[in-house]
Amino acid sequence: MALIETRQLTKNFGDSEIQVQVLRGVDLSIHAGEFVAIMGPSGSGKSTLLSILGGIESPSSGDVLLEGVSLASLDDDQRTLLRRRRIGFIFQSFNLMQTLSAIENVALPLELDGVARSEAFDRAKISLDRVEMLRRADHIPAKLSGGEQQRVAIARALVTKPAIILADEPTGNLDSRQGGRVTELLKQLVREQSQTIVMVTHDAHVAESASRLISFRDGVIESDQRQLASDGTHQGAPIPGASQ
Amino acid sequence: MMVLWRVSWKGFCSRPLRTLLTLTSIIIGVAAIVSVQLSIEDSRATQKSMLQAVTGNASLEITSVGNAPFETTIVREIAAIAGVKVATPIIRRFGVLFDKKDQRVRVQILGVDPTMDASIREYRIREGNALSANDQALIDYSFANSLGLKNEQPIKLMTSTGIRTANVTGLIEPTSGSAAMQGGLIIVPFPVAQKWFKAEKRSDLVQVVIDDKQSTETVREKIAALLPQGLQVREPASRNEFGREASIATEQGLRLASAFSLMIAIFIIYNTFQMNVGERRKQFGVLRALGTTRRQIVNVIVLEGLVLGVVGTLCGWMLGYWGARQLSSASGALLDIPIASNTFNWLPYFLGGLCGVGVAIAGAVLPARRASRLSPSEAMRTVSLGELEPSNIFLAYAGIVLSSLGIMTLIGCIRQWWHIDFAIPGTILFLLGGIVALPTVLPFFTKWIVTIVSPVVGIEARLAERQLLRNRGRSSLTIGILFIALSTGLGLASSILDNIEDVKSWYENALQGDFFVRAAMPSMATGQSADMPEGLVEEFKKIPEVDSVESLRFVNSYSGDFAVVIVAREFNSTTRKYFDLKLGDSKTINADVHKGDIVIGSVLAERAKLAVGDKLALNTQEGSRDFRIAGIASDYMAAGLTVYMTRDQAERLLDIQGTDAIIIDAKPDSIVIASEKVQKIAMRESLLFQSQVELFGVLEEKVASVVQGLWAVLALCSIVAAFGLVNTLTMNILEQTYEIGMLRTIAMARGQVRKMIFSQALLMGIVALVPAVFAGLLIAYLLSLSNGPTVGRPITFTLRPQLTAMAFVGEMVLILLASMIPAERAARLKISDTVRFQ
Repeated sequence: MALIETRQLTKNFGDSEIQVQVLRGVDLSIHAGEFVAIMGPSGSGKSTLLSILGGIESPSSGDVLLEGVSLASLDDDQRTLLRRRRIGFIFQSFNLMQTLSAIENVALPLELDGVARSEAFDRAKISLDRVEMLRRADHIPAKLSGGEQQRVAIARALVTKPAIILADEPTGNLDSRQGGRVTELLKQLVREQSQTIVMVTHDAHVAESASRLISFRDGVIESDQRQLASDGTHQGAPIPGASQ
Repeated sequence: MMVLWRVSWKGFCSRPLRTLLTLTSIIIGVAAIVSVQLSIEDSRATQKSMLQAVTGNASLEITSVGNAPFETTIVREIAAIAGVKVATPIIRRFGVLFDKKDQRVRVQILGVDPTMDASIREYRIREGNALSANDQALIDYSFANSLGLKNEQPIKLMTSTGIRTANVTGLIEPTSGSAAMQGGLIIVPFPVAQKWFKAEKRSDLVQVVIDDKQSTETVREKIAALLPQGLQVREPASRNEFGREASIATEQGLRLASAFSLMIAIFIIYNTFQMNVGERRKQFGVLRALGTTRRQIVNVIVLEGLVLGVVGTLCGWMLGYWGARQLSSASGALLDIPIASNTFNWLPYFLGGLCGVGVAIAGAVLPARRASRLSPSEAMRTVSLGELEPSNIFLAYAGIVLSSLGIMTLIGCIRQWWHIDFAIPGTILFLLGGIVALPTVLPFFTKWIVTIVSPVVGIEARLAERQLLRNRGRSSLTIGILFIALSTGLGLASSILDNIEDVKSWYENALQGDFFVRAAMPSMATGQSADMPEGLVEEFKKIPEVDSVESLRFVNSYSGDFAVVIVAREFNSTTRKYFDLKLGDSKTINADVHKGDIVIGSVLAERAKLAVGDKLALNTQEGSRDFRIAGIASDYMAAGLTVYMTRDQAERLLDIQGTDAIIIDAKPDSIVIASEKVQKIAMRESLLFQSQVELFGVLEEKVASVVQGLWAVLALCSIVAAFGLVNTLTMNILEQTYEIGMLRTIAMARGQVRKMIFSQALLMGIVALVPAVFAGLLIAYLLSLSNGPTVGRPITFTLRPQLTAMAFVGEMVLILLASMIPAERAARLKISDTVRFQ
């Protein structure tokens, strides 16, 4: 069974007079352990797709199923719980709370979920250690470099052990060295923990790290191909049944 | 510049709520100043015009020491003195006018010589004709209008000789400031007034107009040399000063409340502009990058302030005018004079405008300068306002210095080193100091509070704390607004209740008797009512069921340069309480008064620095004479500038005549029958009959009308504070929109967002309200001490746990209610609108 799948997803913006159709019936299935990169020109609908996959935005029609649960059937609080426990988010601009330290930022989703502060901090430490940021745990975001902030954001996304991580241009605000380190970290998560990641990127070099590359154009999937991983499998092979 | 202005205009339009909140703050601030100042000015102008209507252009007045009528033969001699332009006899009495519904209206009746009066009072006949016959009367045009009286209508007046009628022959209105007339003034021919008040061949006073080239003092000395014993010549007796004295405490309360309203409004306006500019930092960065100069940035923000200030001021003027009418009506009820605004008084509007426009511009300048100083790259970078508002230890020192200055000013006022008017700036300095120091000490407070509340509220409390500290300048301002609202509200409310207790204690102790008979309710300013027909005291004494009858007479007099009111009565009982005695032996006081001693009001004691056992010199028929002071009493009649003595002594030494009120005690088991018989006589003479319960009811109504006015101003303070809170929280949310969206994305449910915003309100509430309770009690205590100069003694401060708890809980509930709208707004934010994947 697919971890997350979309069925005839459409999304329109604007009023009845000027309406823009951003997604035009997208069918997509992503399985556990996949590292999917979504590419496409600006306005092609890739970010909107990510918002809908994360339950942040509702589709105009169609549905999203995460682990078999239809997002359309959930109310706002249920969707919030789903995001909190099953989805991790990584943003281009990191989106850390500027007033909280690194460890407080990482522990935040747990504490909001009612986990005791001490336990939340213990788990946050493990998560920070995984991204090699434990030594900077007490620093506020303003005292961290961009790459470090993004690693803290990744630790925050991981702390709840999510089923899927949705990453929006995770290297977009970083220089090539720091970007490379973040990309490597994501690959490592997939490789070592079979973490499912869906990543939107403009950077073809970053997209090469993914096991599957989906190209978007004008609200539809233009191509969907498996990429050659380090072991030489799937590179360039089209995905059967992917919408075109 | 026009391009920039268009950008600003679009900013206004795109944020209608913020624009409205800023405007509302300016409007309320301006309205508070205009309404209070206008009402005080109108009240004073009315009192002044009442005085001027009576005194006109007269520079000197000749009266007897006990205000009894004296022979008019002296007038010719005075008129012959070099430098005297006009000398004319006048009858000046209080009477009662029965209006169309037979309601009593206390009026001042002036008996004048129509041929001479034009030299003294300047008025024109608006309708009808001048006095030409004995049955005619002139009435002030505005006063007649207020009663629905028309020209050529007959009027019914109560005089010493009973009910008299006259025909209104003319409605007059002033032609110059010196003759401005408001309120119940009726002018009749001199011989008629002499007859009505049993003063044939005599006059109550002689008014003297002096040649401009002559010195008043020189002429006064010449006249004094001519006067027989018992007559005195002075500059016009300002009996209305008693009214002014009586309203000082009310004015202080109103000024204090108005000052605090303004202070809160200033905070809100500054706060709003700070947030406004902070929010548009990036926009300014772009404009700077496109070539806009720093000066242009400053100019456009200041121009925004100017536009909002002008619009807010215009609306504030209108609201203030309406508020002034309400306050004037309450003040009028206290002073028993209809207060109307017949002349345009520009000063309150000018002050309101100055504050409205000035504060809006001042509120804009500082944030504007901050915005202009940023380089384009800095401005476009995402930086929290917190980086622009670092905590500064010097602010803490500045706060301590300001608060210390405030306390020293207050101590100075209490010790009477300087005028009581400085108490308001002193209190403001004290509070301002606390607010200036707050950003530095805020983290200490919030940390403790979060430690206490986080087991209950949870992570949301910590997030709320961080958000407040991030913008600690703004948070401090909001906390300051809440702090001022509660401390002022509690302080003033406590002080009002203390004053009410004091007034009640006074009338319960001083106004003892079963029945009170008068021509009309007395003036609180002078105690004077209206002359009653003679012979009534004797008639009441003849009623078998009556135990005791006492007559009261209030007469203006002097002790040296102090204007005082002599209160003469019989003091029949040796055991009854006649005074709300504050100093002196209550067991012997009645006997002491019968021995010739006097009891004085506490205000007079304070002003003249007199104590029990001291001597007070009074002008008598036999020249100046010292009276031993046996006691000092609290007195709300005649502003506490009262001197109590036995009627016998007053008649003998001061030639006091007439009666303002009669107080009757019935025999213990005959109250009902006595009441019926007394009431019958009162009705026959068209007099006002009141039982003690009815009288106390009327007094309570009077007190209530003033208190209502003050409560209204306090309510205004609370509303302004609530606006401030809604404003700040709304701005907080606007600024946190992105973060709230991010939190919603990763983990936060709507309920948790609400909880976080409530927590922000709760934290600000606790930080503000806990010290505000102590500050409020301190203000109440200081106000009770500062009553010295106005009431003549400190009013007992009472700690009211119930009121304190209610004020705290009420304000906290208001805070939480005010946070509901922003909290709901935050919870309803659409995540996709706030955090878009980039």
